[in-house]
Amino acid sequence: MVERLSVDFVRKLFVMLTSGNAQIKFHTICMQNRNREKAANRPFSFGMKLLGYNIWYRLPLIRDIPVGRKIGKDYLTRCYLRLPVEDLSSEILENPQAVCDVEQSLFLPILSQTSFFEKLEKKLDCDGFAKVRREYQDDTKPLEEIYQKLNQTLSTSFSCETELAMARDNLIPNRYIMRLLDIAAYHDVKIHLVVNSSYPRGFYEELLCRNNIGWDSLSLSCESKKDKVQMVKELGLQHFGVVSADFKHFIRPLQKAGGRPIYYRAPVQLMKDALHPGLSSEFKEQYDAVCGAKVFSGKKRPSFLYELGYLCAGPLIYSLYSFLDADFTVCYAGKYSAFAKMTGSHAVCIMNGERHFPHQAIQVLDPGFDPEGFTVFLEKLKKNHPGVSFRVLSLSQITSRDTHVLHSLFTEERSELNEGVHDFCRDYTKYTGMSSISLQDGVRLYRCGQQNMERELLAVPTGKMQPASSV
Amino acid sequence: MVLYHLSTTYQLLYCIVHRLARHADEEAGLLMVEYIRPESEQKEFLKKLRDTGWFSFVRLVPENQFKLKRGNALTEESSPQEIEAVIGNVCDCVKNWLNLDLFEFSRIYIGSDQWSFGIYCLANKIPHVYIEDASGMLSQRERYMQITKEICLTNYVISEYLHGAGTSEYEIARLCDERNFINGFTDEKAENFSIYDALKYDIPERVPKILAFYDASPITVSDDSPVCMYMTQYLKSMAVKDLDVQEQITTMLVDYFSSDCRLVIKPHPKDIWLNYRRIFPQAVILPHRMNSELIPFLFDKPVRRVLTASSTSVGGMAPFAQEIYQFTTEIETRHEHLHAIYVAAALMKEVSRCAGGKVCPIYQQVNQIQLENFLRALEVDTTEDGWKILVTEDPSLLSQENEDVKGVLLILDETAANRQKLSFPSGKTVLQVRASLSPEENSLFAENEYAMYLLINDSTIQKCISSFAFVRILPFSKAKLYVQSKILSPQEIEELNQNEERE
Repeated sequence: MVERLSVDFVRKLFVMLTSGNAQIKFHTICMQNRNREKAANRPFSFGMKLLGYNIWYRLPLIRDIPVGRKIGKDYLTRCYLRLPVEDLSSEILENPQAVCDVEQSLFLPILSQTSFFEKLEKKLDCDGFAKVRREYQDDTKPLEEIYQKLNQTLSTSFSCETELAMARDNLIPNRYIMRLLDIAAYHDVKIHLVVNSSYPRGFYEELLCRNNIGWDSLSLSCESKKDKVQMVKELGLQHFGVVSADFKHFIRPLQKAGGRPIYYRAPVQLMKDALHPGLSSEFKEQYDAVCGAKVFSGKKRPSFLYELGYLCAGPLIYSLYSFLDADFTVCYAGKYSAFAKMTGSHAVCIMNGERHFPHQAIQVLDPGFDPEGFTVFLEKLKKNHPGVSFRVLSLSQITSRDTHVLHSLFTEERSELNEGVHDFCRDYTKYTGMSSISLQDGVRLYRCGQQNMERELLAVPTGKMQPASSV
Repeated sequence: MVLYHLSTTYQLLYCIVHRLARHADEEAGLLMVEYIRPESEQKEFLKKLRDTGWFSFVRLVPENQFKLKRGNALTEESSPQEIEAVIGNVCDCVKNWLNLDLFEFSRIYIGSDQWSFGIYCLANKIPHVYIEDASGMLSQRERYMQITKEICLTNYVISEYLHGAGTSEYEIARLCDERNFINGFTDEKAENFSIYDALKYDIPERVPKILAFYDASPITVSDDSPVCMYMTQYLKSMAVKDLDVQEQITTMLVDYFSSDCRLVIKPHPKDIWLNYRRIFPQAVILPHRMNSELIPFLFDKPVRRVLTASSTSVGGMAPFAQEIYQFTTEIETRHEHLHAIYVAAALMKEVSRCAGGKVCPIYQQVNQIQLENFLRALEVDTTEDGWKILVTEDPSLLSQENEDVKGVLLILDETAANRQKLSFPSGKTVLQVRASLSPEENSLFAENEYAMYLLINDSTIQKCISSFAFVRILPFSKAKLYVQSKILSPQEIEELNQNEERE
């Protein structure tokens, strides 16, 4: 039956069924990306599924149930499968102009505004700062004006430079959207950036230059005293694409004004959409931001094993580093192992018990991959350090779980799991300024993914890497 | 009357030139896969092509419409019945749409026979002439089929099933550019046809009109520097489909091979995603739509150097350029290793200087093409009776005894996690070279370290070689490569031999 319909009609039907709201738009496109041939192979079942999505994601409360979206249990990368950026670019190239709102798409904030002000309060060591700063926050006013009022209220003399420096570090550049805009710029599409912010123009210009992002106009709410939709309308564009993560307050109104919507669901939202184990709220916020930006921005299409390494094993290993960093620790691990690459100055990875250390107390980590070897190692170590107190930590005791899936981290084997762990530790260190993770949070995430790690590692022989496809 | 079918811009130029050079006195029809141009440009493009008068008719094959009607997509696990059912549907679509009696054509030329018209001809055993997909590609069938597979699995499965793509018994000849075959390849049905030769020697009078059709204007490079032309590739036909990786490979090659030249970028006709204007602000960027085969007819002076990662288009430039630097597809999957190969070549240059003569590299378990390219770029003289160095990435060859060999250069894998066990023979001087890549904040490269060891028997060059150290700035890659070296003491060699395996 479908073959009798014209291609144009099928396209129109598809557009109608895929643009109801933000969730429908995102998840129907992901469904299509998961199986590009499905529409041709089983058009009826594909159509029914589209209808199903249209109903499910319109039902309040129901639509937020994370069916098939559990961290460690479900392959989220597959669930959140965006188009490769070069394929998405055909949409932005349809028009001679494009507008993009900077926040949540081009730059991804790590902390919410509330948490950011709290962090700033700690840095400035000024009780009550966060509350007053929140009260005075107004995107239509320049930051300096806000600080004048704030200093008057608090009887302080803070400069806004501290906040700007911290704000710079609070943003993760999104390489997926950067590429999209870069492709557009190459094809002479004019790029108009808008942002609701009280920060000065120089702040954004420096940020954009530092990340090699080109733009034709940059509109700031604190200069124009208007919100981002009004700023775009003032540009007087006729044919333009709208790139944004803000479906309701940016895409929708601009679509009505003739814009071609290019919805980009915020990576942090995708993390929030997934079911987490119970995590401390402070950690969860940063975890969601970093994992979202690095795994679900659309830049990478990692394997499930990499995803498990990043989302589940990575936080455990990072929390272990945080924990071990308090005391000098000798880890029974290969010098060139993935674990050794990331240890701090308080830990050393060796498998030779003959080494001597000048410490009065030594903590020894047993990862559990070689019980007999560890016993010999520990005996030698004790023999070489008479009078030194030893504390043995066992990874399996820390996690209360079997940890054999993590063994390759301590030997010199390669695996995608290790890559995921390494990347998480690197990114979390970089973007959170080395915030620590509690063992409890690390262990909880590890437990979520342990079963699937076992299954996936069984499927991939150790030492054999599968090429991780990227977008 | 002859009939051409094609799907790529290379084939379009190929067919135009072939039609004008070989069938000048006959009428010709043209069928093109609709994907050759974006939908928005098709109408204008067709009009322009028809207006040339080169073809009696020009039609676009509506592959999109056929796709909806062909039935299930196929996989490598599909049964013969499933494959035949799809072939049957495709043939019905083509038959209903074609409305031509194919037996009226004196010759049918088919490029990209994995598309519907090709399938129709193969399935109906219609004799035809096969046209290769890119210059010399007939000799790289495995690579070509891999690309086909990645672009459309169904087409790939059918092509294998019908034995198409240059292997069908119904092909009466295979049109190809034999000059660009990989070494040693032969095909008894091959019929040589080179765009360059035809334009230069057979139909030079047609060149202006062809250039006008492509809106190709003469290229003048203002200064007197020698020109290095970088030929880019289509992302979807690369092994790693990541724009960041493509950008890394491009900047790295330009940094290493084009530093003394005026850079000209020739984007592949479908390479529309990498912003070369941003990456190389000073470079001349040629229009991507223009075929590289036309470049020799546009330049006001010869090109000194043609550079590419693994594009087949360099073939078209071969008669025109003084030097060609081309790499194998390994560069796509292991591009960061190229830094190590560069350091190895620089080290060999230093050996050559210290030894006061030419070197003779013996390659084992190492990418010879990459190393030879660097040796050529660094102007390292090599000769068979020179200072013999075994170059390898296999540590087990360290202890290989050979009286002729004066040195062994071992290049190690950059990933420390994959560290292999070393075993240095006693009584040799060992130079340890460490290189570290230090990227700027906005570089696409990550920090990386490379290690290599040079074992030498010749004590005379020991002192000279021990000062091997330098910094290489890679401006487009936004990184610096720091290279340091030291002669290892017997104790350090002993430690390495013990392999630090317990540490």
